[in-house]
Amino acid sequence: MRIAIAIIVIVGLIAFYFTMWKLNRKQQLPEEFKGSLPKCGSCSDSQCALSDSKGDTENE
Amino acid sequence: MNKLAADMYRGIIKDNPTFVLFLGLCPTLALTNNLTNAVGMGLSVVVVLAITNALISMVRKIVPADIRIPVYITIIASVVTVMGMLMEAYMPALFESMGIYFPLIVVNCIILGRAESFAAENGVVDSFFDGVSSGLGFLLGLSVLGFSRELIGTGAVDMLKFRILDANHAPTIFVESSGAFLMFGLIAWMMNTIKLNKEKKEKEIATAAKAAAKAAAEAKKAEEEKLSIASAQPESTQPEGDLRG
Amino acid sequence: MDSVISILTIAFSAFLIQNIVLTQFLGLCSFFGVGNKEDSALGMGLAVTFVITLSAVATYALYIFVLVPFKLEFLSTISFILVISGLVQFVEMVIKKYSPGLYQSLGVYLPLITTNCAVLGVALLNIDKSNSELSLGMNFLIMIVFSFFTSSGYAFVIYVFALIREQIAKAPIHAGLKGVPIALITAFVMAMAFNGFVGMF
Repeated sequence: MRIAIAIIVIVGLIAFYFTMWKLNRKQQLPEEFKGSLPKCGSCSDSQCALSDSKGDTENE
Repeated sequence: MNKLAADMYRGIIKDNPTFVLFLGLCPTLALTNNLTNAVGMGLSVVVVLAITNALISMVRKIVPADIRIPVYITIIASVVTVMGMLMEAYMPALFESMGIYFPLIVVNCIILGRAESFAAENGVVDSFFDGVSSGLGFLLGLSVLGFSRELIGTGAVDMLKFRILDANHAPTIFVESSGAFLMFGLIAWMMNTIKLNKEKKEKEIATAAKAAAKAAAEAKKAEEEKLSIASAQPESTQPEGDLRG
Repeated sequence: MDSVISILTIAFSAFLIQNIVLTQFLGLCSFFGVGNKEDSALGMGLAVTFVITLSAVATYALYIFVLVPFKLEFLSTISFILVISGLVQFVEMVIKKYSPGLYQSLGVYLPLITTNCAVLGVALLNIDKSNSELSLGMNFLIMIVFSFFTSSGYAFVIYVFALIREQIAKAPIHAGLKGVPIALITAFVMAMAFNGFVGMF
């Protein structure tokens, strides 16, 4: 019983996350805002946050 | 074998997650107040990273590209949960001292970063060793920080059982939370300076080599010109010599 | 009266004394990454405050009403990260649909938030803090106050940090210090300043 509920909880949460992900991907941003999107997807992108800031301070 | 060594060099030295890429800063600063915690955290990350990289590499052909990040996060969270249960069972003291930072491995940038940039495109064995090398780089970074903070802040390293300074005279700021920023900042400064000096030296050597090559080329050219002049007008140079003589 | 004072103490302590960035070291990736420009720091701070408060309520409710009754506490890490990631996607979608202007100033930071350790960290801290001697309603209230003020502390510190870094960028410093090392040392000075609040209660 406990195991069944554990599986239901996890599968339900995964389903929730996947649906939200899908819906979010489907929802397009209006045209006029397209240009201002972030350059990087997540913090995992090593070219992103810190490297960016490093570049900024070095340029100045 | 050579490729493996190159991989290890890249993960541990060239792209060191702590001192070069500055990834996974939360545990780097929070768990380096003593060497034991730092090594425990570093080893957990090595194991988790190797397993998740191998698993993600296994499923890389099945997972559609547009839902890959949710899949990765689910896999990583499952691996960390299982690891946490094992740690709680077999190393309860270490698990206890890591506190909330152990579950936070899930959101460690290194793990998702390696998954996305390496495991998603390479074979299982390669991904496994990539995970090990990046993890060892992280372990190295944490150990350096943990060692220096504990040594300076308390005057002794508990794990290696030696003492250089009486505990009353040690500057405790280094084991306090604010000292983490200071120690890491100083080490990062040192690394940066070494890197800059190396680059400068390489540049100097390169420019010197270039200059030498240029000079050599010019000298050669001049000589050739001289020769050609000499061979073209032997008569005109002859009288000059005569006059001077 | 006592409970009002204890709530105020929790709020103050979460905001300044036990500051999430400077003493708990959570959310450092974005702290150093985004905290170099004033407006992006403000956008990130507000986005994090919103998401942390929202996800703290969701994860705490999940923990109290589902995981504890069925003795499934070992699932908390994986279920929390799924809830947080799902919520971030949901918030991003809603903002995109109903307020593209807000998306432009705030939404660009949302993809960065899933991997921000502050969000999962606060969710986990809330569980550690929950006190079985107090009633459920009181626990919930404390949890909301704690989450909101902890995340406001994050927003405040990242904003101040960005202001300082904008000035430092103009200062002549040693070449090896530029970039992350000077940011770390700035954070050290800020952490020392925040240590001054210890002992106010």
